Amino acid sequence: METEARALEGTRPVDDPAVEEKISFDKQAIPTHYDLPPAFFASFLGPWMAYSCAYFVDEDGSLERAEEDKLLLTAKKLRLKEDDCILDVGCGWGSFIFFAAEKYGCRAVGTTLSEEQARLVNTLAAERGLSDRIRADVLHVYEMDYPDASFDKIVTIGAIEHMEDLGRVFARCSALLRDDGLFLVHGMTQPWRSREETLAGIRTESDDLLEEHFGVGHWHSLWEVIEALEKNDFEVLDHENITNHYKLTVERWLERLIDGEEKIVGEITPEEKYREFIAFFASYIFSFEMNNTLCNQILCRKIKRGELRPNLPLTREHMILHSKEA
Amino acid sequence: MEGLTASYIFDHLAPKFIEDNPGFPCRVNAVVSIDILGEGGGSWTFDLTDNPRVYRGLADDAKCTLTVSASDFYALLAGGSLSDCLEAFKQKRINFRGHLPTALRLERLLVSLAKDPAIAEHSRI
Repeated sequence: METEARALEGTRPVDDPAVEEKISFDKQAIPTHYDLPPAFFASFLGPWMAYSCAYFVDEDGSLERAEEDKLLLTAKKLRLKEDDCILDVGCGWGSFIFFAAEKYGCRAVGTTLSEEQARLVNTLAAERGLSDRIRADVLHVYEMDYPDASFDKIVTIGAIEHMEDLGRVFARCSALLRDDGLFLVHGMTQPWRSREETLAGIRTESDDLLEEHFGVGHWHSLWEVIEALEKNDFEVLDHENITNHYKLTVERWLERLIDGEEKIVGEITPEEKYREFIAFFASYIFSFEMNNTLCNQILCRKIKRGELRPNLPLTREHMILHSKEA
Repeated sequence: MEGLTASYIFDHLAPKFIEDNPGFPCRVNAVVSIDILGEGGGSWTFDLTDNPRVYRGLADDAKCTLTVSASDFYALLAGGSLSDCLEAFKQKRINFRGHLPTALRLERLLVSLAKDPAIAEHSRI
């Protein structure tokens, strides 16, 4: 059972045929999901086009509010400042980088494997006069060739599910982050008992459904994610389990798809694709309900042994969603 | 469908499963109806709330109502696979009203019924 995360210092390692093969496979498989017309995703996502877990203050909350609250919560955890330069690994349609640029004045780079997503982000950035602050690059996570220590903060939201070798990814993120920089990992995991079965070659129906839908799915356990972080010089500052928030999020997406059937099927996507998403969201919700899929936000700091530890917030007050503290 | 009837499944097997698995209704905690169309069909409702029971007819307050042809129903039942049911939905062989994820909570019943000798035998016909 290979669960040991590798610590690769300063990697820029597309020097391995197996890795090259993996990159080539991902570049074909992953965009099949995300290169669908943005209008289709817009038909069920909120206005920020965040295709990941939102954050609900109450069970009846709107998707619009919860979507923005998730972005705010993430920004608070990262303690965003105006002069921050941010990397968003797997930026989707740019929800977080737009939020960081528009609400905090940050500069931000996003990576995605989807040409369609990058085109939309860069077009919107130009339309909103943000081209000097926002950019999306079509880049595999193993190929991030930015100079070392380029970023003050790094975030990856809803993307680790596509990453097979977290050790390799986090090693690169560690190199790209300046010393003492913050790294927020937001993503789905599976309970260890399920992960154990997957590693033993026992496929669950959830594995099949998710992989079929996304093209590539790697469902790590939480401790594997944390192990990979710690082995690449990150200390975990905070962990929040947001599984119930994700179930509520997908409930909202499903409601919107069903309510919008006539317009979506008539004008945006074939019925077969529409029904595929209905089935996927239903199974997704079921998977959360049955504790087969979990969702987490993990906040980390890049550390160096032997260097003086800075003052850090003593409480979680600054990362409470609507606290007054910045 | 010779030898296997919807009545055998809903009036005998399903109630027995519920009786033998008292934790199952808590896991579902909802009312789910199923409308099986064509020869060998009929309508049944699983009320898996306070007083768990299976009864004939559809419920107005069902959280989800599934509609499927009798031939698809028996084939999917014999398969006992949630993935196959979702595939059938994608192909428009199953339809639903209400909240589809709730119906998925019946998975354990589906898996159990598929193991019944009469249903397994039917799948070989």
